[in-house]
Amino acid sequence: MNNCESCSANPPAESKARGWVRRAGPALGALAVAAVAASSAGCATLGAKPWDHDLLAEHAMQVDPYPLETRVDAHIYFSKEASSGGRSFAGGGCGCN
Amino acid sequence: MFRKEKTLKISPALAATLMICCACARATEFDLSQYRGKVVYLDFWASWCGPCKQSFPWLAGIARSYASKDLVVVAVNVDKDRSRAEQFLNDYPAGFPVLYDPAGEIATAYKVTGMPTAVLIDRVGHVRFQHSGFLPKNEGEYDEQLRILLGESAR
Amino acid sequence: MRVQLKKSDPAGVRRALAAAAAGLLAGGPVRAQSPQSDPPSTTVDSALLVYHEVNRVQAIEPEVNVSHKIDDDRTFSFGLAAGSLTGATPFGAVPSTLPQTYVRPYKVIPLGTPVTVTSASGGSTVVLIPPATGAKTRTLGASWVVPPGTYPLEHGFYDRRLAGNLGWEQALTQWLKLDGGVAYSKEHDYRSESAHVGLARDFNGHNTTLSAGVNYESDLSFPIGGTPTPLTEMSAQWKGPNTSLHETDAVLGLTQVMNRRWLSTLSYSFSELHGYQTDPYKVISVVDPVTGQPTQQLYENRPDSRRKQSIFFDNKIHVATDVIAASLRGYEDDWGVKSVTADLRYRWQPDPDYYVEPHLRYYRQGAANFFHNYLVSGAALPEYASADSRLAEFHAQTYGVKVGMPFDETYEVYMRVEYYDQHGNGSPAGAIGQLQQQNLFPDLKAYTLLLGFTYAF
Repeated sequence: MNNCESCSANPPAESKARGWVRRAGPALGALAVAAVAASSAGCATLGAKPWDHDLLAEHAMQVDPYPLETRVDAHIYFSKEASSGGRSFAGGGCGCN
Repeated sequence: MFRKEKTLKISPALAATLMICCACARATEFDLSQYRGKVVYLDFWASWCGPCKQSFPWLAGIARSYASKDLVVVAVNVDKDRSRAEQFLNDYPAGFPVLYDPAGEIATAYKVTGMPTAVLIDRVGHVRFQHSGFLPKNEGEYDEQLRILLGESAR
Repeated sequence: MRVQLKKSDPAGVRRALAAAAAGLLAGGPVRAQSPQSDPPSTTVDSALLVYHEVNRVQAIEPEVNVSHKIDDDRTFSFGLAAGSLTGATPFGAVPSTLPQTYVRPYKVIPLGTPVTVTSASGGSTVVLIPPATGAKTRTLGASWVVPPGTYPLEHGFYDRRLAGNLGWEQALTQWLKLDGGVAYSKEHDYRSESAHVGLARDFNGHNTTLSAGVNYESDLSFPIGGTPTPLTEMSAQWKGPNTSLHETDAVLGLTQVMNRRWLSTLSYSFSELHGYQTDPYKVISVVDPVTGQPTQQLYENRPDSRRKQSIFFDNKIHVATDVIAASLRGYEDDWGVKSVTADLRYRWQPDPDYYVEPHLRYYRQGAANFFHNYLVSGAALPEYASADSRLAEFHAQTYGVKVGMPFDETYEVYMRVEYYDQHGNGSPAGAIGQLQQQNLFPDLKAYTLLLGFTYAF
């Protein structure tokens, strides 16, 4: 709703508890399925052999190769937009040790 | 990174197979038979592998110290780009033979599960220890394993 | 089972074996000496941001981050950031065909002090507010006039920020990593402290990583002029006491090596905020139901609870000698804001010594359910209302290019230039009276320059 001349009522009623669980459900389900699949043998086809991690070891292939730049961008967009993003930064790389 | 030692005891069947292969004179097969009677430290490495930069000075050291006791260090490089491997060798001189395995066939044969991987083969050709990863703080343990194998006689 | 190589390159294998048999090195002299240098254990990342909004705010922000490997298992890091922001900014009031006067608290001085200054920052005029009976202090306000047809901006806006963080990363086992950190940020009217901890577990020979992290943040707001009572009229009176805000975030991530050239990350994050989330400097205009002329400016009000969720999908794909970074983020919260972000970078690197990386970002958000461009006089006041364009419906594009020169793993220099264009609906249907001829969305255009230098030793 952009503007509402006769807006006197509260925002449209929507069961908050049910709402977010319903919306998060598919996402959590997808992640759970992916996690189970990833850790089971079925996902052994996805990936690269340990000696084939050459390209993955490159700097630009890391999940967050320029953390300072990421932080600067997050700060700018947080100041100018309503969203804030939570990203995870673990994984990838040469897989050594 | 902390790493638990994984010592792989090869089953007699697999050991026999490796021995058979080692006895094989076919050029398409990776041939360790020339080192029968010596202890072989087979090290799988790559230019892009960070821990390899720490392992190489140590490998050069043991190759030097234990050569008289019949230790042979053979480094198997898995780089797809040979020039990268050669650049690494300029910065971290080896002092031991280097084999090139860009297609990963030797790595596959030895079931390499991580980088780097060390395969310790005794004087009779059995794989006695195999560990993936290299940690300077575990150099004592690696050394101990070598002394065990070097102390054995070639039956 | 025979351990057998393919016959595809018998000559090559023969050569390799021959070299081995001869005990020769393949490349480099036989020289058992220590290498030139140990691998770098310390990395210093520094960057300078220059931010310039057209006719709005400008900011300069230097940042530095130092990361040091204590040993194979443990890494320590600390970072510092400073920022200076000045300029003019919209504050929620709608434009008008008539000149508009606004007022805000400026300073509190002891009663009896002669007032010699007549103008405050940003071209505003100092206004004397009659002191309350028995008070020992008096308030000075700052008032300013916005000419007709101009989008109202608050000038003399300034902020200085100093932030620091400490981080720790430790490998617990070959497969399990722990990380944690604390952060602190102080501006002249806001303070934030936070702590986070996370775990990452590798599977499938380091091809799969599952990670989870939590963050807790506690903020204190002490605006210039105090905290206004929500939905009361804009005035120069000194307002209420400080307020606080607490936030808890959780992130779940799954990173998967898809193949030798493709790394994919999927993460889900959830945040809960409780406390003061209103912008104490922003107002919403109440307009005449016929003419659309502003009759009052009321301080805005936002709910004191907010629940956010987002899903983030990121990909790094190696193509020839180049890398594509493509990500998608979906976001929604219980304030009614929904957004989608698509980000694409193509790192063209024909040579190891330099790269050129064009960048495209597309962002689209829907309005918060209590966002209104204005309120209409005569109608009952809603419980929550904000005219802050950051909560409005809009889309934004970023166009940028980054040029960098990496050198081995020792240092890298880069420069990034970007243009950000935010555009909303300045002419909503149903606008009243004079508002029909006004642009109700303060379009934002900003240029950024980022200079970076990384050094590892």
